[in-house]
Amino acid sequence: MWSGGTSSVWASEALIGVVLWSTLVIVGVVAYLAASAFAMRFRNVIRARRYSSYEATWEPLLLEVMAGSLPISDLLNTVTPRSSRHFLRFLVRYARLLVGNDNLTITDIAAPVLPGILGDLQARSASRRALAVQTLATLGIDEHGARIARALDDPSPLVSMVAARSLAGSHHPEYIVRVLSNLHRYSEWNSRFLASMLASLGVEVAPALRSFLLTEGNPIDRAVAAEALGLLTDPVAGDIAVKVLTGSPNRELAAALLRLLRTVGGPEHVSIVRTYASGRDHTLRALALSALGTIGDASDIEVLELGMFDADPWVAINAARALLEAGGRERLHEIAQSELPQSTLAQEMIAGGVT
Amino acid sequence: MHSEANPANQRPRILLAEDDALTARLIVHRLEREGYEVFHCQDGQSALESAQAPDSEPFSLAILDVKMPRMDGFELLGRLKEDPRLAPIPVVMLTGMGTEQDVVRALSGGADDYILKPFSPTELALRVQRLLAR
Amino acid sequence: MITLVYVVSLVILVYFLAMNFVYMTTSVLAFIDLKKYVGRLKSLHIGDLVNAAGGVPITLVVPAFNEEAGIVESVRSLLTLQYSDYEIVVVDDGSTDGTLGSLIEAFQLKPAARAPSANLHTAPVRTVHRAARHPNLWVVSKENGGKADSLNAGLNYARTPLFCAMDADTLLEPEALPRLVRPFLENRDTVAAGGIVRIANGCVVDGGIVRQVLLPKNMVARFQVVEYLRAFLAARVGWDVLRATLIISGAFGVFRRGIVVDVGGFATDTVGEDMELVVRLHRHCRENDIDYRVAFIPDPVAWTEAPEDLGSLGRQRNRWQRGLVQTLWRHRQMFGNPLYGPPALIGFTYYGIFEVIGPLIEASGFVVFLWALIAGVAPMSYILAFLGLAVAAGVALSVAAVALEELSFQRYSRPRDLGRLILVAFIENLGYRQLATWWRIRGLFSALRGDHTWGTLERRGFKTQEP
Repeated sequence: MWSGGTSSVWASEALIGVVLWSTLVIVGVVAYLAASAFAMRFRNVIRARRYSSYEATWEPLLLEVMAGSLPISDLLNTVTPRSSRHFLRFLVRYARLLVGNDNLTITDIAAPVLPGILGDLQARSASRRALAVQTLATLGIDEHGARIARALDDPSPLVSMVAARSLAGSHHPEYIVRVLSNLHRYSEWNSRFLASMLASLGVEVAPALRSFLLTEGNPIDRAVAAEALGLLTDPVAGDIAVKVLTGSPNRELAAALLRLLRTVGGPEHVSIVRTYASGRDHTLRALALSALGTIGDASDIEVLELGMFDADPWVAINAARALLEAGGRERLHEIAQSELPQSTLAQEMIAGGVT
Repeated sequence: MHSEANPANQRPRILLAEDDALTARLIVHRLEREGYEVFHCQDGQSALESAQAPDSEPFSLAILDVKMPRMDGFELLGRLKEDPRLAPIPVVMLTGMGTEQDVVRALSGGADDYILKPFSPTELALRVQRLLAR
Repeated sequence: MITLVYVVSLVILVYFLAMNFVYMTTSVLAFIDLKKYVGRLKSLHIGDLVNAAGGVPITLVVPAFNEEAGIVESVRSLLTLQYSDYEIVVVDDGSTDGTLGSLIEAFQLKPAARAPSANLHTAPVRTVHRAARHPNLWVVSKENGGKADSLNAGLNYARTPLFCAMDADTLLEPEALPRLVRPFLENRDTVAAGGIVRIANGCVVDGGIVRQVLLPKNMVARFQVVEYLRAFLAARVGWDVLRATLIISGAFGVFRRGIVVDVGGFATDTVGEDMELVVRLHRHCRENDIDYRVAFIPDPVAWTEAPEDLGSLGRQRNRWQRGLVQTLWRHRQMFGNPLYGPPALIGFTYYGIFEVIGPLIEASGFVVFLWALIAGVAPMSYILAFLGLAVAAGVALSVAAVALEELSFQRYSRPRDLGRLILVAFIENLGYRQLATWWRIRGLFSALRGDHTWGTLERRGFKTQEP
């Protein structure tokens, strides 16, 4: 082939074949993509049009129902089996904006329509199941709470997370144990986010969180429980935190426990915090100094002042803030007026500019 | 149902600055039913211009959302309180969830009351009524 | 001679087939991923997710060099973002105009003390100001040092777990922050996240928000619209599925503060500091066995003004190409090294072959074909078939990118604009693509020359960055 005559090489049918066939394949695949994308757009446009015409009918009626001047049945009579999914989507938008009695009115309106989407909980597509869980939770958590709790065990992590978030926001603390036992499924999620999710179940969940913290479970999950206890400012958690800290937990759990002690700790917890304040890990050192600001006593002021001169800027910032909290304002003033590099930090603390 | 609070048939004018259309419709509808006249602006800049317009009828109260394009609620609040003609108008701030520090900013900036979103139009109407009665 | 020509043309053919195969693959991956993403958006309300009490605080670092004309407007729109807990640190990079003055006046800035939280080396900081009415707005004024240097200065003052690097003239979508912070919530290993940057030319902009998306009237900008759609939707979404994201646009990206400080911040000695940082993060995490994730969000997040004349576009592309070559060269030990995983095996290979060497192959192909045509050594049928492949595949891929946009975000609402986009996909083959290839080659050579004059002039201005 390499030594072939000029024109025969150029005209090589095989070569032209390769070129033509590749062109066809690429153009074919891409044309298929394009066609299906445009078809989907077309479908979406039609749906959006239908939805806005429904909305134009429903909204004036809904506002009258909410004002108490129209019976619910008059609004429900305009909903057909075909439009019921649109109707629920319409109601969800309002329910998310409203609280109190106005929200209850929306859930009352939704109650007779909701059973229509129960079948979606078994749908093959995960995002469809997740949407159903979300709709049920927004419009009928009291009625359908048990179904949503079952969705915690859904094979799709998305559905499980939507269920957990719905239950967390629902003020139904009875589901805490089931949410906690699923915590490992959300281990990819940000721990601060998970902690606030657990804490939003309310103060009733503190006992369950405390016993979870004492288990031998995954330290990362237990760190989440510790942070949640901190958000709930659980007064009993301090003793447990000390107990776990004494067993030299891993770094992430220790950090969460030190943060917990900063919010709920007392003078009786201070000694273990002091050992961390002189430790080698700078993150833990910063957190321990920060905890000393709230639970330490006059004997800690020296350590906090020293902390401001730590090589790690984070440790210094936390120490300065703690110094202010521990009543070291005079020391801060001295540093602020000095020529030391830490004077800016001291000035900032005195001005209250810390976030 | 309609308000009998205004015998002179002079309906109190309320300035509403809110960029979310649905929230605005809920508020306008409820307040109009209560007998108020609501002037709705979609951003802080146009709300300020409407309030400052020399020929406009004075507003009896302002409801300001915090997050708005062009000018946010805090800046609008500050501008209103700077203007001696507008400063006496009572202000209710609408603040979003998870923003408790915003409540402090609103009250220390001179707002008379606040409502946390998600909200209850009924509660908002009651607070408006109470502020106007002062 | 003939044999040489033959070999060259065979190489070109193989290159073209491979390139189109790669783009086809990433398009298919993007198609699947976008469908999944859109479904996911419906069931997890993004605002709630991020603004819930567990939302992650973030610092926006906004470098500004001689931005007097637009900086107040930009900052004002940043103050209205839909996000619960954020600080804005504007870094005035030694501007010689009234950038600082206009900020002081508009936001009633007062001198304030703020201690640095990191010790990245930067040009000396002159003053720190804080806004009277907006306690979350800070302005750091420093001596001129370039964009990377300004970002590092901002990073030194950031206190939050996340920070966002951006351009002063970037227009953000109202939901831009929640969208980019989401990957950090959903995966605690996320270290960096970037999204799609779009071209604002021709759009109706009001109060810092793009209200209506229209095609630009200017042809140079219009070519870039198609180019951006292709680069982001058909290519980068696909690269992200393969975990090979190497570029997060300097116009808007969110990073974990701690790890960026750990790797030393942005590099001040390259024109492509955005790509260089992402590659360095990949390298750092892989070498130190840190679990990490670099995320690309298939959602439009930011809008930028594209150059409308060939001169500035050429300079921009030249700079991008140099940034690319410098980054790949600096981290050349990653090439084909399995230790570095998909970013090296897929990302480096792709960028090395198709973005650095590719333009040379394309150009030589053009020359060979021209010669073959003039000398009459190649039959017309072959040339036509080859040109057919090049044009048809190019157009098809552009149309696929437009279609992906249709599938996911539907920003171009007028059917007329869609028709025009497809038309542009044809026309760009007649000159524009060749021009782009030429700019890339020039960029490659000036990078190879080690041309040290490149920095001084351009390092100061950073109006346009790699998309």
